[in-house]
Amino acid sequence: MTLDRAVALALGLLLCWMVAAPLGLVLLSAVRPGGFPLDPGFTTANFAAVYLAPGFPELLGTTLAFAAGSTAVALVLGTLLAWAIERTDLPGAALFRALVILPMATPPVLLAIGWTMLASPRIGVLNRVLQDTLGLSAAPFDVFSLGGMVFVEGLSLVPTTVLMLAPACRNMDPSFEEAALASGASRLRVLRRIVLPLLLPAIAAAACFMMIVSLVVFDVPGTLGLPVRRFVLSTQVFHWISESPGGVPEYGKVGALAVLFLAILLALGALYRRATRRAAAFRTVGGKAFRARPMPLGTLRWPVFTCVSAYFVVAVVLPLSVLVWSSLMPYQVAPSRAALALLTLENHRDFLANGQVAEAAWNSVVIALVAATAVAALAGLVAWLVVRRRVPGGAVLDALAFAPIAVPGVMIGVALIYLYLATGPILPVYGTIWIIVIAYATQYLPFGTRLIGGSMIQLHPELEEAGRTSGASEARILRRVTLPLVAPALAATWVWVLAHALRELSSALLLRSFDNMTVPTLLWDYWSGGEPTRAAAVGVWLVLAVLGALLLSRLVGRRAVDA
Amino acid sequence: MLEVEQLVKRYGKGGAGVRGVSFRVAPGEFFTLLGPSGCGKTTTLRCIAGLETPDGGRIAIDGAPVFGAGRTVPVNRRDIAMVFQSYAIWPHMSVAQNIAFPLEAQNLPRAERARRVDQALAMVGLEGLGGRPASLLSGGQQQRVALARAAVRGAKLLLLDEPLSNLDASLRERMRAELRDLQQRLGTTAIYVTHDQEEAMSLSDRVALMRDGEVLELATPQDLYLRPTHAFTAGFLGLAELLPCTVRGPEGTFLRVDTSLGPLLASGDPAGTLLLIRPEHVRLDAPPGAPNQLHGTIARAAFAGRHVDYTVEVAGHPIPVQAASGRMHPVGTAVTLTLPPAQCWLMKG
Repeated sequence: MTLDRAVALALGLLLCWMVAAPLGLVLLSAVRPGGFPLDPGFTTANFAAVYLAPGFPELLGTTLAFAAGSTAVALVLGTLLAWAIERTDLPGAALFRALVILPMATPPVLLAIGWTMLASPRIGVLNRVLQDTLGLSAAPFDVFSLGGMVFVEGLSLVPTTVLMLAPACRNMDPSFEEAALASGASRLRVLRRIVLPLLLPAIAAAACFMMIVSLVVFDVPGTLGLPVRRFVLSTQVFHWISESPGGVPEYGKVGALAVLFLAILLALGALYRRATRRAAAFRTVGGKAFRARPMPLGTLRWPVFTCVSAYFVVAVVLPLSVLVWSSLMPYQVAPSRAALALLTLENHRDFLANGQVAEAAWNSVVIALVAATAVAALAGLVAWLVVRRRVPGGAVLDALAFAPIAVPGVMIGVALIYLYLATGPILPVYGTIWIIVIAYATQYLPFGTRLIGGSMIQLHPELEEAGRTSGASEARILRRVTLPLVAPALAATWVWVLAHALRELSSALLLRSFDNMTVPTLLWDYWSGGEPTRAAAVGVWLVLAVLGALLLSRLVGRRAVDA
Repeated sequence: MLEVEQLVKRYGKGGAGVRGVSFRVAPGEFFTLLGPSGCGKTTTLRCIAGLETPDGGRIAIDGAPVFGAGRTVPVNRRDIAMVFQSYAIWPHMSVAQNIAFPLEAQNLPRAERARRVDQALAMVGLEGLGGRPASLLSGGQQQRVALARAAVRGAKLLLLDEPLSNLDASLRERMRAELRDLQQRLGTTAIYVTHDQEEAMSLSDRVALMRDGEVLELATPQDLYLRPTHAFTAGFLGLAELLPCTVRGPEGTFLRVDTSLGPLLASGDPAGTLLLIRPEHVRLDAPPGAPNQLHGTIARAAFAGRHVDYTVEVAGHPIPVQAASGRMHPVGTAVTLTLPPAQCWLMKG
């Protein structure tokens, strides 16, 4: 037990350094006149500058409306999709189940760029086509609006919603539905009174999670909101730091704004944890072993099929096609027979030959590999100490590892800037790829502990006790019993972080300098620098890379199931 | 009340499915589908409920066809109530809400619902527990709620899918009695599925023994146990010693047969080739001179509380014998076995 405690203490200190220290510095900067946390002085001017500014109510309103709207879109689509794919005789359910990987491989920033090309009022392909065929005088869609941002962000959250709800749908004892049908209830009543309430805890957990993600997300509001100066939390922070009118980053204002949002996000984080526990408690109720029987949709079969297909068209086919098309054009042209003459591989050739690109790709891969390994190791250790060893102070460890879920990527970026500027002489990571590794490891730690902790909770204690009664030492039990049993979860975490680190944009954007460019930041530069076709080419390759990583995870997952 | 004709349900490779099952159940009857796992009994029940769509055949409930001739009545339009193996008590509802659900589905007024829920709760001995969250119930209580939920609707046909198999032994015996009692009071027709032969016999008016998707034998519990026509039935319903034999001819009201134990008197099928002897029918204490007496030695004795299990060696054959536990014969004792001719049952192999 003393060794456990020593390890727990060391881990606790490390997590404080990774999570508590940077956050503390952000909050400290709020009361410093110059905005730098280690400067002397005390002021409340930053708070006044943020909260009393005329634009503040609009910022708060837009952020909340954006988050709530995106969450609603993702929940409605995601619940329908998860239920249809897992529990009904939807035609092609197995194919759709495999296809969910496609929208997941599309980074949100690319989805937003794709939809800009489709629905921007001036050049959007859909707008042009509809205007031409229907003879409309004005463009029917404007993606640079709150509605546009909600639509695209909602779409990008659907795959995660499906992933969160699919197990709940799958694990629901079918005799719950059958008992209701046998009681004489109509299918609609069964859905309303039995299926939805049983899924409610899982849906509530997903709702909290989506709310958190869409409150902190940068990619979509960065692509669609920044050009028209419609700010949400993350883009406002980015604007104050990278595009501040005075040229000097307004760290003090960022700190002041952080106070409110951290409070909101931590509250949501706590709600999320409660909701997931309730969902778990609900799941254990119910029947014994059962064979899941798909529910016949009857006359609803083809309408549901159409809805599900429409989602894939809107979330994958349309945006990715327009990206591929643009990547093959010398400049942005709407698809037409005439434009076919312009077809060129120039952008792709440039992408593959460009030295800057090669460096960015190398950086991205190294960062993703190291961050994935670090998260799997740290999260595995935290979960083991908290769940299996039940060390004293485990709750604190758990909370520290969970807190980053509620911190926007841009804010982690800002926090790390403070920390490593201050410790520069001792820890020279600022401006290198390592500061990005630290940012990603911190950002993704909560996902890792959740995933691995979940699989450790399911391990029956008797498995380890049987090892002990066989005379094995704790180290041998860890090596021969516990680790092999949680290996699938460790592997899944590793691949998940790898795929997400490859596409992550927000914190890298703040931490970047000349030497630590990543592929997503390069893409962002091309896009915001007015080179959409080059950005599209980078995007196509990025999707392929992330898709590769996700397919790898499928492979690992299948092997874990077989084992 | 229920007619099932040539019911066929095919599964993909592996599963036996149901291969032409037919039976009729009279109003008020307690009818059991009994058989080993994979024999098609649950599939048959689910076809009756409408939870599975058969591949062929005909089903009629109370004279009204619900499946067959190109028409299928959906499960929620059939006049049935069902109790599931897992109970399927909805964890997000209270006990009363669970029981009220079938009435809710009929859009009954609230007051009427409450009255009937109270009745149903009283019927299963759960008075006053209506407000309790269903997720806080014990196994036995969940079972009672499931019964109340099935009873509350007043359906003509009550379908029960292994409802007692998740209870522990003592509770199972008590619930068995309560179940039969409840069915009698409600006067409904019950179709019961189980793999437990004791449960089937003690509950049912008639039992259909199924094997490999077919009904092998359909009879009252007594006939099935004492006068089976298949060796499989004899073995499935209880301990059975089966001796190959040859019928020599009638002798009085019985038949004279030759076995490896010697000549015996038996009853049953004159064309039979197998002799069924139940260990509990063999007597160790009959007075000398009775027919069918054999001499042997106790080779094994095991005290089981309610009775004693012996193995008696007769002419080199081990014969199982079950005797009342009043007196214990030690191993090696010479004994005289008496096989009552009425209970030596002849059947075809």
